[in-house]
Amino acid sequence: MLNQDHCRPAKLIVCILGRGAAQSIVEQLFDENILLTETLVIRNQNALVAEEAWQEMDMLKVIVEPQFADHVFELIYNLSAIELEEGHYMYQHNVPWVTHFELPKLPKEGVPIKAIESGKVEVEGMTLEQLQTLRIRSKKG
Amino acid sequence: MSFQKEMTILTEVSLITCMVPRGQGNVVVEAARGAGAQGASIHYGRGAGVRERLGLLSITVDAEKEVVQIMVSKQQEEEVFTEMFIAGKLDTPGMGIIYVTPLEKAATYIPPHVLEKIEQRRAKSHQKLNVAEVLSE
Repeated sequence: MLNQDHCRPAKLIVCILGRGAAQSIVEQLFDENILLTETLVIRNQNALVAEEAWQEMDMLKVIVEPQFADHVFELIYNLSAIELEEGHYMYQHNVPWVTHFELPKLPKEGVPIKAIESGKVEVEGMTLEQLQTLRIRSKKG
Repeated sequence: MSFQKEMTILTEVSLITCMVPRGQGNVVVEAARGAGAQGASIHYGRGAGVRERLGLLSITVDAEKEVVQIMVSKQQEEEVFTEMFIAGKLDTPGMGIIYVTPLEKAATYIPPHVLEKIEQRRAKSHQKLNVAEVLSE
């Protein structure tokens, strides 16, 4: 069973903004306690612009810890100039549970493919167990 | 980082999400607009679940889906939801699903004339106004 060590409440912030604009916002959110970001390309229609106009736009999804949500919302609001661009919008809602999302700890210089394949070669800064995990993941991929 | 700009936040808003077979998205959006929705976003997805249980009949259910998302005021929620349900024929098995997510807050572009209207009403009533309701008028 999962417990609170594995899961915690969070907030999901979604922002619909101009095509190609999501990437620069993600880069500026790097130090803002973000748990996860995801970008989709969508088509968007807005009655305020034109009746049948569909526009290709970015959908940026950000999962953030509740105590930082309002700050991140305001930050994205300002970075994306939501209030200035027709068709742009954003919203925030609760997410009851999210799991931890951690990347494997890897040495800066990378891991040699030989080490992953064999699972035996020692890599500085990595335990054999971590190497085995990477090996399983690479086989699944 | 700090900003001095004033934010106009919408409260009492909901997000209606509807998954329908690819090609049906526009029909659902038109119905929602007819019921007063201001706009819509669509992206693609792949459905799973029902098809696997249908065996050979699975070819009758399109795996490719369109995911329609529409933000509406609480006031409009039920009407838009109903119209989307009917247009998407969601009472037909395998056609899709629709659900509502209550939103904590939202923000969007608000045309100057609407902002003006809000300010006028605020001055008259001295009460906090629901911006989403004014937008949907």
